[in-house]
Amino acid sequence: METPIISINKVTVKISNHIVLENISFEVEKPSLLLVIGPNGAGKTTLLKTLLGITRPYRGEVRVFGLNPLKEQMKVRRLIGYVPQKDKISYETPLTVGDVVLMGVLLRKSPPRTVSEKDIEMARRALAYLGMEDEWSSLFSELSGGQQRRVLIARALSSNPLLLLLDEVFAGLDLESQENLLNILREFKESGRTIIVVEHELDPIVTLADRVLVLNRCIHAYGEPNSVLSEEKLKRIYPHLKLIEKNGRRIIVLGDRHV
Amino acid sequence: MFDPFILRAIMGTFFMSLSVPIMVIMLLRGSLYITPEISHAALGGAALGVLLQMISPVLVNPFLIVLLFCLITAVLAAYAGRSGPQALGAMLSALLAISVTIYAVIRSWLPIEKKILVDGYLISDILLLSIIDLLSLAIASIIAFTITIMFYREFIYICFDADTAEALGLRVKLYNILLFVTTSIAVAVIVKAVGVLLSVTLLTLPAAASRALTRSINIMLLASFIMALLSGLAGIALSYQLNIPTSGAIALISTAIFLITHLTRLKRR
Repeated sequence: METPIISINKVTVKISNHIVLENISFEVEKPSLLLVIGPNGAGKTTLLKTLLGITRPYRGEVRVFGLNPLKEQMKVRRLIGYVPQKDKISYETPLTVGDVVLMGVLLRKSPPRTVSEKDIEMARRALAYLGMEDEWSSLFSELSGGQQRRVLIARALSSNPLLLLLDEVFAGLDLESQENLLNILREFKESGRTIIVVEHELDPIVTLADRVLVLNRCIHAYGEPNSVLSEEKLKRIYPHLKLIEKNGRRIIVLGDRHV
Repeated sequence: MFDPFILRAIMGTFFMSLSVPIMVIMLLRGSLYITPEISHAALGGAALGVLLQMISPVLVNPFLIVLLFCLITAVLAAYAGRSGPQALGAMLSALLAISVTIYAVIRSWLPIEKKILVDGYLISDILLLSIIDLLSLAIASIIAFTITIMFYREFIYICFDADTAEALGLRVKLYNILLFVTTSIAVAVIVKAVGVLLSVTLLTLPAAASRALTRSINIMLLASFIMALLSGLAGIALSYQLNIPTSGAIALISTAIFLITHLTRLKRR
C-alpha cells in the first residue's frame, strides 16, 4: 500500500489551553487539491502549522509523506512550500522581489547563507514560471496584491516542493488575478503534486478542488465537493449562508467574510 | 598630533558607530521604540556597577553590570512582546521603575566622587573615556557589529515574514532573542559613549535617517554607521571649537543630519 501524502489521526491541538483543533482525522492519499474551508478561528491556519511541525499536537499523530513533522522537521519542511496570509507580511521591510524569492532558496541552506549564482538562478527560474521575471529588482511592497501573491508562490515553488500549503491566497484579489492564480495552481496540480488551500470563501478555488474539508475546530464534512457542499451541511457552521443564482451559476455565499 | 583624550574620543566614536546598524533592523522590525527603554535600564546597572566596583575594584567593571541590565531588559521585553503590546508596556514600565529605584537608592549610599561617576551615565562625556572603557567598548561593539553582519539576512526575514521563515526551518524564537541580545549590547555601548539621556538620538536618528535616504537594506546599514560616525566626529570638533559638552554636540549634529535627510526626501517627492 502506498504511503498517504498526509495522514492525520485523532489530532487535538491546544493553544494557550484553548482547544483549536479537536480530534480530527483525515487522509490525503494521492496527489490532489484539498480545499479547507471554515469560519474565522476555525483552526485552518493551525492545521497548516501542524502539518509543518511548527505547532505541536496535544494528542494524535500527524504524518506528511510518512514522516513525523516534529521529529523529522527539516526533511518535512524541505518537501513543503508555504504561502502565508497577506496580513502576516510586513510591507514596511523594503525587500525587492528578488530578495523575497531568494528567501525561499537561502533559508533551506545552513548558515552562513551566502548567495551563490545557483541560488539566483533557482530564484529567477521560479519567478519566470510565474511570469514575474521582469520584476526582479522591483520593491515587493509596490506591487499589486495579485503580483505579490504570485511572488510569494514563486518563493514557495523555488525549491521545487511536492506539497504546497496556501493560506487564504485568494483573499482580496480581483477577478483577473484570481483567474491567473487558478491557472498556476492547475498547472502545479497537473504536474502530479499536492496543494492544500485554506480559504474563507469557496469561490473561485472550488472549481479546482478534488476534495473539500469543512473545518470548525472539528471536521464537519470531508469528501468530494459535490457531496460536501450541500446547503444543509454548510449551514451547520455558516448559519448566514445563502444560495444565489448568477448567470446560470449556483453561488454559495457563506456570509462570514473577513472584515 | 591629537591629544590622547581626543584620540580616545575618536576611537570611542568609531566603536559607538559600529553599534548603530543593528538599530536599522530594529526599525524595520517596528521595535526601535524599545531601545530607549533598554537604555534606561543602564541607570540601575551603572549604580550597582559602581557600588560593586567599590567593594571589589579589580573584579567588577561597571560597564559589565550596565550590559547585564540592558540584556535582562531586552530579553524580558522580547518575552513580554510575544503576549502583545499591553504586556510589553507593563513589562517596560516595571523594568524602568526597578532601574530608577536601584539608581536612586544606591546613589544615596555612595560618596560624592562615586555619585559623579554614576551620574556620568546620565550625560556621559566621550572625552573622558579611559583605556579600560575603550577596551570594553571595542569588544562589545565588535561583537554587536559581527552578529549584525553575519545574521542580518535572518533578522530581515523575521521582520518581513516570520511565519514563512519558521515554515522554512529558521529558528525564529532563537533569532529573535539573538536580535534583542545584540541590540542590548549595542545600547550599552552607545549609553557609555553619550549617556542615557542623549543615547536616544543615536539609537533612533541614524537608523531613521538612513531609512529616509535609501530603499536598499545593505545601504541603510552602511549609511547608519557613516551617519553615526559623522555625528560623533563632527560633534567632537564642534564641542572643541565652541567649548560645549561633547554628547550634546554629537546629539545636535545627529539631529541635523536626520533633518537634512528628511528634507531631501520631501524635496524628492
